[in-house]
Amino acid sequence: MIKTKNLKKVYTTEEVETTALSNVNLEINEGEFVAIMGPSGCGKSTLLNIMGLLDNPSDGEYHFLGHEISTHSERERAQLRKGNIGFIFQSFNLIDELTVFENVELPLLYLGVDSAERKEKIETALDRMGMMHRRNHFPQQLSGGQQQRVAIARAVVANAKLILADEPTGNLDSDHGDEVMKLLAELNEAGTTIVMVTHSPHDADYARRVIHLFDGHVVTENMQEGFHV
Amino acid sequence: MFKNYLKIAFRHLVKNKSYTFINTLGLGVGLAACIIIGLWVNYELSYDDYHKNSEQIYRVLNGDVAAIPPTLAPTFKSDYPDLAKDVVRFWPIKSPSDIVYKDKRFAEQNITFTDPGIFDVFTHPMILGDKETALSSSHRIVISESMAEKYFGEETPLGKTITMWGQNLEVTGVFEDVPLNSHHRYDFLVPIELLHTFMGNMMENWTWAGFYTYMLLPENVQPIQVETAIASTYDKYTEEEFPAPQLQPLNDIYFGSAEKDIAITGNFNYVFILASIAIIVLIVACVNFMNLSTAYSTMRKKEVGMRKTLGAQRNQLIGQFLGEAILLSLMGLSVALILVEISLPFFSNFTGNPLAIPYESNWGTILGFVGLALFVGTFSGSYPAFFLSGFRPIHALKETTRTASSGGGLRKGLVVFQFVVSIFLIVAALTVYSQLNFMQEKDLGFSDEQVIITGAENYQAFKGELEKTPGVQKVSAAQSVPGQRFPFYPIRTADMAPDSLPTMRTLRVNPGFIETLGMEMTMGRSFDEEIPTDATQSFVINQAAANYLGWNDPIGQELSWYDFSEDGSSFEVAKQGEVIGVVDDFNYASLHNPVEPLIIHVSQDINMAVIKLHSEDTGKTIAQIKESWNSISPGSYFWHYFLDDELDRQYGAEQKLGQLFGGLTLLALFIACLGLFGLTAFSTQQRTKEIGIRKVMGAGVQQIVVLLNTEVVKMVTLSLIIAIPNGWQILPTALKLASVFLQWRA
Repeated sequence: MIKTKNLKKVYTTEEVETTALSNVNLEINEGEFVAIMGPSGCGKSTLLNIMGLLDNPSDGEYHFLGHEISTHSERERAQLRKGNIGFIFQSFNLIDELTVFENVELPLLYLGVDSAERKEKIETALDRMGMMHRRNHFPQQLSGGQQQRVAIARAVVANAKLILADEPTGNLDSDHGDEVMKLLAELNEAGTTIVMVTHSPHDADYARRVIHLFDGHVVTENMQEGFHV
Repeated sequence: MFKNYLKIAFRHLVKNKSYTFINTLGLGVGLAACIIIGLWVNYELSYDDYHKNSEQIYRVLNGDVAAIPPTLAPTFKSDYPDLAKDVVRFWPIKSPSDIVYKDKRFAEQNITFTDPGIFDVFTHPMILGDKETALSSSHRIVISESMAEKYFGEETPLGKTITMWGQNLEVTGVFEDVPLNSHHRYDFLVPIELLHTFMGNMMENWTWAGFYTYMLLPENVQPIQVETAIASTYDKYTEEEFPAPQLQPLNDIYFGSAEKDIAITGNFNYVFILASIAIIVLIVACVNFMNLSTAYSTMRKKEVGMRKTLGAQRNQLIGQFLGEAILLSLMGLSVALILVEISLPFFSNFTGNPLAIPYESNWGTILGFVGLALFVGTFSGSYPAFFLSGFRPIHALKETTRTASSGGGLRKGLVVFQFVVSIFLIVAALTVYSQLNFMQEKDLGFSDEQVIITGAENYQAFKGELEKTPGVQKVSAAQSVPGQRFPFYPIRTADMAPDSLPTMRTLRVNPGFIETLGMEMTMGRSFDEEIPTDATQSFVINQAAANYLGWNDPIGQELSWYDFSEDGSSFEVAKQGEVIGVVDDFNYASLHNPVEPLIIHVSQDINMAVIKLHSEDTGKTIAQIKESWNSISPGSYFWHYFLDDELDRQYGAEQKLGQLFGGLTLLALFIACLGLFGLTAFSTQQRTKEIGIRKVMGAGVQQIVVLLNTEVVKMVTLSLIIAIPNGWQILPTALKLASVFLQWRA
């Protein structure tokens, strides 16, 4: 599903040039649950952004679903992202002016799904996340855990093949964090590929494979033996 | 998707109330100013286009002169029947004449002699009577609807007899009142044939230039053909040298007054200037919108980032934000329409134009307004839309980057622009005011202060009483006074060709007039009551007349002055004599026009007493004058006015322009301040953390206030520096542009 070859990302500002990623070679297959770990500033989020087609690498190749996209324009990347990739962020990134239902509806709107089908899909997703009873609330009326469940509903509503989660439990207490991780594991069980950036070894235990990054390099890749189910 | 956009737009507007309020109010005020001025401009441009044939109607000018001989119309019609469908003359009566029906007698202003074809050329729908025959013989009269009401009330006017100039005229028709947006004013139409009764063979005269002639051209005839034909007609029938004839399109008359014009005329410069300012006010309001939207865009960053992450294309986001801008501008339009409804009656009253939003007339008006709102929304929303939709998702989703500061340079630039524009307008308004002041303060060449004008019945006895009144300085009398139109009469000098008979404005006075109004003699002397020949064979001319006649030493020059003969059939020499003095040019018409040549002579044909008062206790003096009047002419109404008040009224149009200019300028300034207030409030809100830290570090309230206001003070100061040195150039430039525009329009 994902394959990178000598992936490199350099950020240039007026004064300094920072290498965020260098020579990253990775392969992630469909159905995997991969955790990316490493200290702050090691390039985890950069890697996730490139995988999510939110950013372009400076050098190297990135293959997603068989497309070599390192040279794709923003428009082409947006097209490929739609429906294929779901995102979960540490800070949830729900739109404050939209209700729970409307937030989950957004990806379907951009996919041009008709209204009856939309309703059905949203209700299924919210049901699955246990958020149906909050469908008409606004994000500020929800707890952090609830907001993240809505964000997951939004990530899965269009049946994305890949879910990218950037420290999904970072803003949650441990109980809510566990709830979220269980939901992700369930999704993975059901066949969704998940790539998650995390600081927490506890969360990383849910993944089948852990990739450690340090200063933009992949240092180790471990297959987990006794991961949570 | 559209519903989603609409929802989010509404929720955003509700959430940021001050932002919504400032933008809606700013756009509302800007749009209201534009709509009101637009209605006024539309009205001004609509003059005379209610005539069905307006595109094909032309007025004949000789050079720049509108008044031409009565002979042209019938001659042209018979010599060139194919070049004009019809030719119609107007001869408006210049001074009020009595119209009598039974016991009703009123002095009427708007009486015009005309040809029967008037109803074929111009669109004046008949309410009663037959337009074909209404003016077909001499003793008929057609009246307007309101005159029918005034004289006949419930009775039917048709067949009734009205008396005018001692002639009995049968009412043969009633026409709809002439619309106010017409350069004509007439309530009574009398056949030109009747004029033959008074003027006799004067009507065959090629030198009597007093008629306004209009032609209705067939569609296949070009004005140039007609102009050539008129020139040949003159060559064929008269020795008189006329300037090249011109056809002036009917729709150009209102803004293009000619010499010796009687038309009601407008000033295209004013239309252009006010329209420009209204647009500027709207632009200032649009800039507010741009500024506030981009400033508030920080709040939308996360939304943009998330939408892009979920696959939104940039053009979809541009569409969304433009849609929001249009929504806001539609809200502004609603506010504007309410403001217009409230203020339109006052504005109509102020300008004297009956303005109204023509909701009922067509959907076009409504579509026009919506189109305006769409345009304003798109114009002001485009920059914010491109700005917002340009956020990169990964940056937009990071909370740390601050977008409020990005685009800040442009925002400051736009604020400076708004203030520069507002200050320009203030400077231009001041220029208009000082111009106006100049006109009102300028030495007119005579003294109009403490001068009252009254009637001149039983003048000699009245004068005797007045001279005994202590508050009266000087008394004289005249047929007309400055501020009125002095009539033209033919004159001739010894060095003129025998058949040439140029006309010159004439003022008939009693001795003492020149002294009463404090005019200066540059040569010779003024009229003296003690010298009998001054009343019978002497003239005073003004400097312009001396120049016109080419006299370096006018004193003693021979001059003949012509008037209608007893039977009205021709002009004849009414006074022959010599020039005894030259009076310095005085502005008897208006400072808008150069002083025209003028001939003054003594006559008992007077209408008004001119009384110069001592400055103290004028109220008491006027009461005494009234007493004298009542004792000398009992039963006659005593009227009077102060000459300076009347002359000030001549500059009414400028005064109105100045006031409108000032009002619009204040609106622009108000909107700019509103925007600056919004921006400052926003940035203060954004800097809460900074203010907190500074306070913790020991900053006092005063220092915080200085901190927050420094930016504003800098921007306003920069605006002042840019605007003030250049502001004085704006008005002359605008006027130049207006004249270019007018030429282009013609």
